[in-house]
Amino acid sequence: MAWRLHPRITQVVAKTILWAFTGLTLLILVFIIVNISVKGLPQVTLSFLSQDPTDMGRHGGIFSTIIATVYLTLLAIALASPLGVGTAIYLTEYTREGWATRIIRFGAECLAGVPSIILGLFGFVLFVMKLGFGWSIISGGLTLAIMVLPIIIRTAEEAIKAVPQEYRQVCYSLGMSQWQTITRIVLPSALPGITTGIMLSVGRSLGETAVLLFTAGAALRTPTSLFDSGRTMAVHFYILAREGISMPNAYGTAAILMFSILLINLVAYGLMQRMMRRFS
Amino acid sequence: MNTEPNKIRLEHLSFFYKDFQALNDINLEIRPQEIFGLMGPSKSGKSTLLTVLNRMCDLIPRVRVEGKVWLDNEDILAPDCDVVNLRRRVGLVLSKPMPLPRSIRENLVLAPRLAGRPHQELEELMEKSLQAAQIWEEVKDRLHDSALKLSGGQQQRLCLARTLAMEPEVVLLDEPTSGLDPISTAKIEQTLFELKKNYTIILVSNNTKQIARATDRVAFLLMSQIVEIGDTHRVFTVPKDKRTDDYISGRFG
Repeated sequence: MAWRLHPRITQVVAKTILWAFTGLTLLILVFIIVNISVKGLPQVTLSFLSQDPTDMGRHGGIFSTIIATVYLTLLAIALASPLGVGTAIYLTEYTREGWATRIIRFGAECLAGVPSIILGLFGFVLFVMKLGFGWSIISGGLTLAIMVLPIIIRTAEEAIKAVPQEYRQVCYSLGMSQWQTITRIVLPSALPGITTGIMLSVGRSLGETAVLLFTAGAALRTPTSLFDSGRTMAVHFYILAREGISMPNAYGTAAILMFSILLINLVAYGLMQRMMRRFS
Repeated sequence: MNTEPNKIRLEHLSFFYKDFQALNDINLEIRPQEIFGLMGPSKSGKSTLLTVLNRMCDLIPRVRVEGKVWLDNEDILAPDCDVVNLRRRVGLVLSKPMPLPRSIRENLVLAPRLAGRPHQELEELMEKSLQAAQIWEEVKDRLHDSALKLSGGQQQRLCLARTLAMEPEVVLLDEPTSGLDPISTAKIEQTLFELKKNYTIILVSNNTKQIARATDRVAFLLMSQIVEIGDTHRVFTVPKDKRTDDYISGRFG
């Protein structure tokens, strides 16, 4: 008879291996955070945050890159949110499932799969060259918006679908129009989920470099108009590290960027939890 | 001038879900200020009939309706019928209590407010409707609490009150007391009796005893067709059709 392990032993072995995998994942995360923090946080002072970079970023702070990051992210979200949520409402409320919705959804999925460097090239050709916006906040914002659109459509669609069908029946049976039903009942119920998608998009935008190298440029001045070029924190980090300008300042920038994204992900996670509680 | 003595009149109404015929040549008249009962086994077409009366059937894909339904003198199946307005006139209470995830007060006033009722009327409208649905005393001190915290029976009466707050002309009730305890059921039936003075009520129920207690006239549906229509007392004492007799005495297979 073949020799077999006792189920209790296989159980222990499986548990140990799975625990090790989980531990490894956590360890990688912790290592990155600790590494960036140790090398970066010593650079982070009030003046690092409040001064503009000087001498190509060798000295001074990162103030202008923070401003450029905020502008680009806000612009991208401001453009993509209404478009994405609008598309999601159309797909879930105004059409029946059919070939049209499948094509739109497939299109959104494909858009999500386009590598950001390709999107950057597309933005460069269309916005920077063809439309003549140049390397600018507006070119970068538009291209980032295209990049995060599928995330927003997808999460908003799921959130809207999760609103119980009976709510809509009740609203219609009370003589509420479709638009009233959507704005008064469906969207408020779906709001935590929609917000989660928007927060994820903010995180994506903050960390993006490839798209922005092509479309927003890398000017170190604080952008003052939509048509000014601007360098985001992520791009700044890339250039400082790539061209060996100043590793300490690169790590300082990375630390600020990383903690901003962590904070945003935490907020998004919190919102997701709230939504789950509400609909379970 | 309104020469139509009936509130609702159905002429040769047939209804199809894809290839299943849920209603077959229904002819029916419903008088103003009566409680009209629809009884029959499940899948006999009772609920389908209700969904046609306020066009909730529009929400279901791939259905087909034939025939005519008159509300007063208006053909509600006509393509130019204003469905939103129709649903304000013909209210529906669903079988499963389904409060919206809002406060008790908001559940009551949301739809009237969106229908354009002036703000100063809303408070009075809310109190009147909650009283009519026999739930005012239980909720008057917590109108701002979530409606989801109410018990099942309270939720069902809240949903009835919510429909009444639209001040419809006709109230459709789809098994309003299924899943309720006898005390809540008695309260709802009491409410219906009071409401009859002002509204035309159509009550769908699986419970023949409830139909016998609560309705003035009744139609017995079986396999998508009407078997018998008449005064409730008469139908329950001397049914004309053998199948009606079998159904009300519980001998149905």
